[in-house]
Amino acid sequence: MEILPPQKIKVADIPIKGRGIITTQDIAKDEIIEICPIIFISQKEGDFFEKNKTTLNYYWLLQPETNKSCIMLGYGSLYNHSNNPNVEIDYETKESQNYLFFRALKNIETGEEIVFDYQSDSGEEFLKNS
Amino acid sequence: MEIIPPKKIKIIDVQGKGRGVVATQDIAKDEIIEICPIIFLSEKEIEFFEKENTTLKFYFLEQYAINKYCLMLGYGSLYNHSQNPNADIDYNINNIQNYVIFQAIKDIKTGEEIVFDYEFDNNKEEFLKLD
Repeated sequence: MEILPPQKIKVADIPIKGRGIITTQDIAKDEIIEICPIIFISQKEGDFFEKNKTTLNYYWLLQPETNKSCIMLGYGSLYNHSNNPNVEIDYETKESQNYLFFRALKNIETGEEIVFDYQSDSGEEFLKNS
Repeated sequence: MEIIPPKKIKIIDVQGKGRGVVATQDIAKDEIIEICPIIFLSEKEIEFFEKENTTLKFYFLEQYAINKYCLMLGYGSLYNHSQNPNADIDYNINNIQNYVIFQAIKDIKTGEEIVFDYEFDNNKEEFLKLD
């Protein structure tokens, strides 16, 4: 699997939120915005982050369908949360791969922030939207 | 600080090494290859990685010159190690920033793998010599 860096986004400082991702070109609904390489982490690591509320506790992602936890490289770890997201995360559920992708749920205009729903409360919530 | 994703690299499977980064265009000596956003890690996290020999032990970067540890985003965590590197990592030691810079230390041709010296030996002087 070859991964090319995304060409329509940049990392910027977003007022109040810290770092975030904004578009540098228009993006169409259903377009793949970024393919992020991921690092799988062990249950032990996930538990440690949660228990100790370390920095990485705010970055790791659970893939509910494969029950694996990972850290997103590329820019995946820098997209902010929204209850009204314009992108979602998708990944191969049958054969776990060391990447996942961000896909546009709507048309996104140049300069808009790209946000997804972290669904931090439960796996069921996550599946409802898939 | 705005960061534009790198335009001259891609991630591929490198034979025998797992993932790695290769040039998709020629890169000139001293050119900035990539600016990587970083996440600073706590000492507690580092101790845990070392003690438990976890996956992340192989990914975090020690920034010797400022006595900090971080995880590189962008593609920084995917460049492989070489004792004959063609890139090095640079960062501001006077004004701590949440990014590091990969810079070419030689001309790099299209298709060449980009590698840097991980400096496993924890030798601060060795590291500083490279700057």
